[in-house]
Amino acid sequence: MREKLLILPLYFIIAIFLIPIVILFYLSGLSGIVTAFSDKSFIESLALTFLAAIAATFINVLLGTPVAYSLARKLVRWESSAYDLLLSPISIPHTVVGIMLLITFSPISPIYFLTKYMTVVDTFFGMVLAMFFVSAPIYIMAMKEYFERMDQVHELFTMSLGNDRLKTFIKVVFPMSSGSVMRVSMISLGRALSEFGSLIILTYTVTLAPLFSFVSPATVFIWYKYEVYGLLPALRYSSAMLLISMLLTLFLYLASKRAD
Amino acid sequence: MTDFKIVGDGFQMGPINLTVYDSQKLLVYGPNGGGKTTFLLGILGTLKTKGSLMIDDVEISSLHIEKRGVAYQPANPVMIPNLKVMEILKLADPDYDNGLIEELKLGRLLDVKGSKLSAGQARLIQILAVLFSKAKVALLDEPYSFLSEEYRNSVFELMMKSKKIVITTAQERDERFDTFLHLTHG
Repeated sequence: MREKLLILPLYFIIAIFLIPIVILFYLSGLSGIVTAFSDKSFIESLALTFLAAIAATFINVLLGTPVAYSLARKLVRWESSAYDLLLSPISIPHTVVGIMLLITFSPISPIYFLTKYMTVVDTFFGMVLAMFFVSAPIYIMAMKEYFERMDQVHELFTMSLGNDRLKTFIKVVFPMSSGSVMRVSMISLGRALSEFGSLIILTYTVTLAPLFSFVSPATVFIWYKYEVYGLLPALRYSSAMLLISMLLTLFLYLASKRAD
Repeated sequence: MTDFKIVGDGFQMGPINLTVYDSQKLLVYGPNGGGKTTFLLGILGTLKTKGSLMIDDVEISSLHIEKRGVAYQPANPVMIPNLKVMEILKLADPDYDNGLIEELKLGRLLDVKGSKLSAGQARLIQILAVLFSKAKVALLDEPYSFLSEEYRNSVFELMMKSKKIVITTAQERDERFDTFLHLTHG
């Protein structure tokens, strides 16, 4: 009986998560979702958002995985400080992230002589950068914990055969971790997809010829519909985006199971 | 090794003074918890050590694992799950001795992934990789465990034929070796 007290919060939290989702789908209805998917501007917005989120996640895997491994194996002397620094964006409000990136690449930036060749305002690059900024700490934190828990027996065996750590990482550690990389990427992708605060400041609309012309990120698109047209259209687009996100999450989950 | 000590959380092993010559076979024996694996991991470089550890007049105690010239077969009979046996052996030596593989009737395993090997098969591949490697010293932690009688004899013969210094652990003393280190208290 007393055990049930431990399980009770689980039902409570599931209810908090699930009830709004069910209500959203219920109120928008199937016809609402179909209407949203027949809106060309929404499809463009979704495509842009997923493309940018996938790009940010890809950069996370490419850069974040070796970083997480280096930190887990304490390959840098200042590992603890580096880790704290890398996690710090988690506590920065995302509108502040948007403003920080905006000024870093603007003419008032003290390093403008370096950043003037890169444009972040209303560009695909700016969108990916903002998504990377907010999702990288989550990716690095989760992968570091995974590498710390990982049995090092295969690494030691491989290195003792005369293979350096880089080769061991590429040939043994990374392929062995593919399931976890996919699972953590899924969380990182979800974080990138849901980003709003920095995007509304940095990339209200994005132009990326020839694919996109003045297309808003999906979260900004939904916010715009809510502000200008009211709740009903926003409901349709919200449930359509949620459906796509859930399907993607399911796909990645199944893929990570297969990779295991 | 001179005044060689292995230092861990709340324990210290040594000092050990020991000289092993080229191609010599050292058996480290003693009961469970006697410190046999700790001794091997100290030489491998995964535990903190003090004192001198030299191979061919080169001090290796400050070198990274891959540069020590010490190949290690862990006690746990597991193999890199995502690589085929052939790829694992190539990590040790890209031109490994295929004749020996056939002689040991292991040719059929070359295309099998590490995750599909039985404990005994994984143990054999671990030992072969260590002996194929260019390392001067082979550390074999309980090499006979999980092996059939036939393969135990084959492994013993391979160890004896090897030009490497072979350091092996076992619970019991085996008179076929030429040098012994008895560890009892960790």
